[in-house]
Amino acid sequence: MAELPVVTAQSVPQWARGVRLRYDETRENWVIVSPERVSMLNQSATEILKLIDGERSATQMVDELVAQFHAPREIIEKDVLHTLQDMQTRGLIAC
Amino acid sequence: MLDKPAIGAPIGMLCELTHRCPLQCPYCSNPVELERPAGELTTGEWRDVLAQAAALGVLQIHLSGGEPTLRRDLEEIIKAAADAGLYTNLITAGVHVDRARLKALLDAGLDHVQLSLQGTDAATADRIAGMQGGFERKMAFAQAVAEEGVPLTVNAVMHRQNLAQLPEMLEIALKFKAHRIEVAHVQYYGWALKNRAALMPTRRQMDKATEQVTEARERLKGRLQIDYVVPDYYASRPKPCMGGWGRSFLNVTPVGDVLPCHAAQTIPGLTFDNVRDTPLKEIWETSSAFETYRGTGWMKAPCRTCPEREKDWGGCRCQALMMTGDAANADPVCARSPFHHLMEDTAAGESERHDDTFIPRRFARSDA
Repeated sequence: MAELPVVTAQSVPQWARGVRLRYDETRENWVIVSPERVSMLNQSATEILKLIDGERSATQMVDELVAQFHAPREIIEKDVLHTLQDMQTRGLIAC
Repeated sequence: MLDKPAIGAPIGMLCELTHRCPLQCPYCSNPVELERPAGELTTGEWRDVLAQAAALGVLQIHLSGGEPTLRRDLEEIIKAAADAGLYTNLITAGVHVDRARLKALLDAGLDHVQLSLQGTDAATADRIAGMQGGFERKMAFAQAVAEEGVPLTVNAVMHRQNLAQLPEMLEIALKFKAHRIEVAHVQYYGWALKNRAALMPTRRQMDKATEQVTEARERLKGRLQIDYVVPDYYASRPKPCMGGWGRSFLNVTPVGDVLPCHAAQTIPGLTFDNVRDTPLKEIWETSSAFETYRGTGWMKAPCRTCPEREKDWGGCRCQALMMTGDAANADPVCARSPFHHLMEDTAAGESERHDDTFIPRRFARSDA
């Protein structure tokens, strides 16, 4: 089969069907619910994944996070691409 | 008590909506004594249970049976779950759901479908499931699911009489755009235990299946996720059954009994509370059935001092009871159990028998 596309700055991620990001009030944590699986998210992944709307590109996501957290762009960009790649490999998002 | 665990919130809940089913699979996970339809929880009672579950911290519900689509109020139940924010998974045989019903279920908020397959051709599948024409109906349902773009998991239940069809099972999953397949060797409780000698795979079959899964996982990476449940009788490490008793999962039977696992009623001496009498939160936190094997305080040797005890939680209580006579013993799947040899001895003995006759899953005859 063809390899999955590599996530780049131009990629526009969207949630795979049947996958949802939600706030879990009981555990006070953001979670991804997907078929047969629940994944608890850390704070950095939460802030990244909350920006997925099927319209923003990875670059636009980075822009927003840089403005929001005042951290070095290179670090945020690396984190965003890494997180999106990981999510894609797990079949939770499509890019 | 020293080992008294902190009680976390449950993540998943299995809702057995009914024990009625058009199929008669000889390994059905329902109890041998099936619940009669007359006692089933009403729509309103399920609504209430679902709201309580969401408040308790449950995130996902699995709508099962029997065959859950035989409940005419399934749409209402799904809607109630979706309104409560719960992720809904429908576990179905798919033989009674036409396109219009599927759409109605999706409109109600259904998130995911899990379709069981008994074989990859009509002759095999219909014989195992005990329903003429069932396979053809399943394929039509799978086609509708694929066309509607519904996230699909294929649940391929494997045993001696269909294990040779594993490659075709994977092909069917791909054909209908399933993103996931569970290659699940039969677990031997209840009905499956009655039929164990007709179902148990040989060691050679099992090793071949493991090889095929390993190869397919690599080949289909990113396209089809393959979950593989190794048959217990040939394993040497126990599964963390239910992720640990009373740790993250609960099961509600058609009549409202709340169980730590769907087979828990096979353990004599446990008493189960019912949602008709007791709030779900109280049952989860204090019911004696949940408390009995929660955490590690109940464990005996070799579990008690085992470094793995908070990973596998001693394995399966029901299997420990069945094979060793004491539900508090280590699951004999574990190589450290003094009863471990019984597993492979049993498997080797039974898998070489040539009688493939099943006792079909049915309501007791007196009820007919």
